[in-house]
Amino acid sequence: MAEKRIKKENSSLSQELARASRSPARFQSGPGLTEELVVEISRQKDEPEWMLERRLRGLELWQEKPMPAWGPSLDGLELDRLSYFVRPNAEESRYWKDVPTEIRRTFDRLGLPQAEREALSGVGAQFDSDVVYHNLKKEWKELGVIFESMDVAVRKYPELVRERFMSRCVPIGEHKFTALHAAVWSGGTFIYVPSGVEVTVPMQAYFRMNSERGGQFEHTLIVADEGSTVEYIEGCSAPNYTTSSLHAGCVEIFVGRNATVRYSSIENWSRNVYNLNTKRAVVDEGGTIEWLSGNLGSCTTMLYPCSVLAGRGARSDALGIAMAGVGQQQDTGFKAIHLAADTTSTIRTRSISKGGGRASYRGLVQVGPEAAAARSSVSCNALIIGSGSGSDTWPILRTVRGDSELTHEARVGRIGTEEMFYLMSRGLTEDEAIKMIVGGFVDPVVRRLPLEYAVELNRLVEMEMEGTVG
Amino acid sequence: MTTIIDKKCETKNCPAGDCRTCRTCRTCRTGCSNTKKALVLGWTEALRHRTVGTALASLPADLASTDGTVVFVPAGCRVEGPVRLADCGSPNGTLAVVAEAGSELTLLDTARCGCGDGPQQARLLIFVGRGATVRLTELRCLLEDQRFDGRIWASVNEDGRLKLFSGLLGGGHLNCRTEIALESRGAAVERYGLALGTENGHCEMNDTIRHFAVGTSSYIMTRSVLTDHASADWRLLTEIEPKAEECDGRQDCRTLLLSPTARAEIVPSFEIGTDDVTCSHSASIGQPDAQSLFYLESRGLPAEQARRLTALGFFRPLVERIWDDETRETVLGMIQSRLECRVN
Repeated sequence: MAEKRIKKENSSLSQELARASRSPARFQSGPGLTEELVVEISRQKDEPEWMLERRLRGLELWQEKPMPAWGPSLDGLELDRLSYFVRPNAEESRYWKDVPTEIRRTFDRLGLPQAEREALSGVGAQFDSDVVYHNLKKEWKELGVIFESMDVAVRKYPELVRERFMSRCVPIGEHKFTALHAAVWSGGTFIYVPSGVEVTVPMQAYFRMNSERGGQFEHTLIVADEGSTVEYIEGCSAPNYTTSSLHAGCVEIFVGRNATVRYSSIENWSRNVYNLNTKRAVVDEGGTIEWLSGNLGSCTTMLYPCSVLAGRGARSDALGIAMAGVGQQQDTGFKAIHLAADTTSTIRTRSISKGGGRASYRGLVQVGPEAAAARSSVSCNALIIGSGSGSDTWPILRTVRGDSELTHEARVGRIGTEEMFYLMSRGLTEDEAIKMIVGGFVDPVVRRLPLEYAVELNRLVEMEMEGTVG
Repeated sequence: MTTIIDKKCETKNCPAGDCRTCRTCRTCRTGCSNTKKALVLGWTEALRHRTVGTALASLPADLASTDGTVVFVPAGCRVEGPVRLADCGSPNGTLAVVAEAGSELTLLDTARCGCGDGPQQARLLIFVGRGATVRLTELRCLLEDQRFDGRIWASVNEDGRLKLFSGLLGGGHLNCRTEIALESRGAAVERYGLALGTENGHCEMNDTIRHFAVGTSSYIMTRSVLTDHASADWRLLTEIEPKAEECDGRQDCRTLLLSPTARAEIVPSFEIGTDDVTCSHSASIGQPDAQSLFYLESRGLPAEQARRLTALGFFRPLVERIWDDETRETVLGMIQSRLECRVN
């Protein structure tokens, strides 16, 4: 009964989202990427000269760089037919009531305003290329915390943005898709937490890609000054179209001395989206970065959040969950680069492949010549459901120092028949038993999420597991 | 043609009592397995041999060879005890082992231990027939500045068992690519790798095991100890094809760094195409346990001896897996003498 209700709710949610999503765009670029478009984006956003320069450099590198020669196939991605810049028919607003009704309805349905009221210190919402709503609670503003859309931050806080934007953390020419991102980035979040300020309630941004054959390239830059603490959550989704779309976002995090940043993202793009994201944190002395990454949607994901542990005693904790269903390939993992003494990193991942999907772990732990007594532990668990599904693990442990301690362990397997028999002998159906086991499998990740997100993730996992049997 | 086993005939009432001269046994369908002998053949001779010729013809094009040595074990022939190849294997070049259905062979190849100057190259090709068992140990000791490029290729058939132990010691530069295919149901492989790198030694091992059939199992276990400026890269890949259900794949890969300038890289990977598998791997890179060293030193052992003992203890689980005493003693002897030279 309860299942039926959930199914009904889900289908009405998707119908309503589809209705709400039919909002006309204010500006939509033609297919393909040209220099004129890049200049036009910069002009429309009224950007300073240095940003236009970086965009043009990005365009140049994008044309030079080859497509990645490794990993899942990107053949279905029609780069020449994508719209790289789509502006919704709305200006950024601080008041929810000012957001146009159609767009507001989409986010209402996704539960955004309610979440803001109940549990968050700040909220941003992006529709295609532009941020449509941004708000930070007064108490945090007074302490000097900045929470703005990236477009606004470029104009308003050049002294904070200019030296950090796609330079020291993720360079423009890192790979083909960071170059593309630099050329056409739009929207995203900028967070600055001043020295010593502890933001106790998470901030959140929600990204929704709405236009068919569109691309979303939001840029997130988080700067946590010495001794500060901040938690930021990102949620992503898109409606289902038959043609492919591209999401090539970029997240740059600067963790200052003894600061702590917790970055969580639940990416639930629709099954036609190529999610080729780049995320990296540079951690100074005594700082901590915590990654929490959930990948459920999209047809192909290539996402490897990276921690560069640059200062003594820096620390990185990464926790990931990936779920690959019909026609999906989740190629995810984490990287930890130890550059300084006494740095530690932990990586824990859980992946589930089902119905012919493929979930892969691709990771790297590297210890540099200066990183005395570096410690790292990696553990990956994979669950494979259904004979057509598959799973891969490619972890790399590399050290050039004799005093490092690196460990890795992984387990891959199916659901045990004994577990199934036990649950079914207690009266559960096969479907329910599988759901319960998968629920237990992802529990270590879910437990780390804020409550309302945990509920959402649980529901998403349950939705994904719907109809696995038969 | 050389006969490498030579036993008295076991058949009752054998008129000759010696397989080489007994004509009865060769036609006898009931009795003595010694009528069939393991042979060491030259390459041209081997190509003319019916079974061996077919096996060698089935090799991938890049492995085709014109020269080398072949050890052939006919169906049902069981060669007990390790056969040392020191006298008949060539230090460079190709060695092929062809084990027919139901046969058994234990080989100890120490022939290619650090002989000759200049770069060396060698190939090892192994065919394990239905229900056959092949246990092969190859040990290589390279002096500083010596280079060695190796290639191992093996194919294991239904219910065949392959146990392959590679020991690499010394300060040379070694590069070895191993490909093992588990072709039919029930085939199993145990792959053991030992590396003791000293001086500027570098060892690069690339092992791939492919499961093509149902019910196949593989186990990879490696232990490396690195001193001085030595480095070791282990790249392990266990591939399970979509139709290969009920498979078991395990990897256990550990490296002990005895010097602050030693370097290591481990990539233990899996590519799995079906759900009905049990796969696990563990890998670690670390230093000797400070507590164990303290314990040994508090018992009056000098520091360097304590470190040697710890290294020896680290190899222990691997060495214990070796199937016969003679091979085990040989391996232990080589490790010990190498450790005594270098760990101080």
